Amino acid sequence: MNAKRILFLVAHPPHRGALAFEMLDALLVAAVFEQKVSVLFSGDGVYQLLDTGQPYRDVARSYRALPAYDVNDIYVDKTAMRQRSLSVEALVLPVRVLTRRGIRALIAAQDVVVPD
Amino acid sequence: MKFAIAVHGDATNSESPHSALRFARAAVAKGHQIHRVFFYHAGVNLANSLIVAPQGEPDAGDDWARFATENGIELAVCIAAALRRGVLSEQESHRYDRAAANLKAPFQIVGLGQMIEAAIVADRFVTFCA
Repeated sequence: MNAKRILFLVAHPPHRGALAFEMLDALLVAAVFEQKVSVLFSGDGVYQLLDTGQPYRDVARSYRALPAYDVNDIYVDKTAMRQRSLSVEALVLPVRVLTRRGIRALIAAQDVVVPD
Repeated sequence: MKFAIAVHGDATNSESPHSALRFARAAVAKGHQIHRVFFYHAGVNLANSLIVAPQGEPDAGDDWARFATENGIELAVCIAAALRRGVLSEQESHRYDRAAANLKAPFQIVGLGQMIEAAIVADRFVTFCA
């Protein structure tokens, strides 16, 4: 079975019930299934990559483990970052910043898109 | 075409299960195949047989159950999402020593791997967000 390109689209803020952690779980399972996994944080989803310093229920700390699962295609929406006055240095792991045009190209290249 | 459908919202807080069911009915009516419907996040509440819909409102869980039975479609519920929301099969109720089981038939408790498997084998994976 050929690996599929699966993009997880994270657009909701953290601390919205279990949603953030459940999306991360789905992403990690896709990675374990050896699919070509990428993730894009847009809208309030970019807040999921901010380290809040809380020891519990901080999804950012869990996202830090992505490279250990061979997930290295991690993107953030440039507009979402600018609107929230966030810089990539504030995020818990290295990301690639995409313009709207870049996002369109990223989505067009996928077999599957899973929004949160 | 072979579809897989993900339902992320429940009947109380979103249109997700209703929209997804209309989509599924339309797909079947057009002769398409539905490989699996995967209930995740709050969508697992559709499988809670103890929920009572207000009078005059459709019961989304019952509607899904009937549609699936009539068309031989698999309704899969994520086990981790179901446990934390109190949706338990007989087996899980026994395992965690709870007072009752409430999983509605023909919903089945499965692992999250079944969501990714559905995304892999289906021609289209369609998500209905909360």
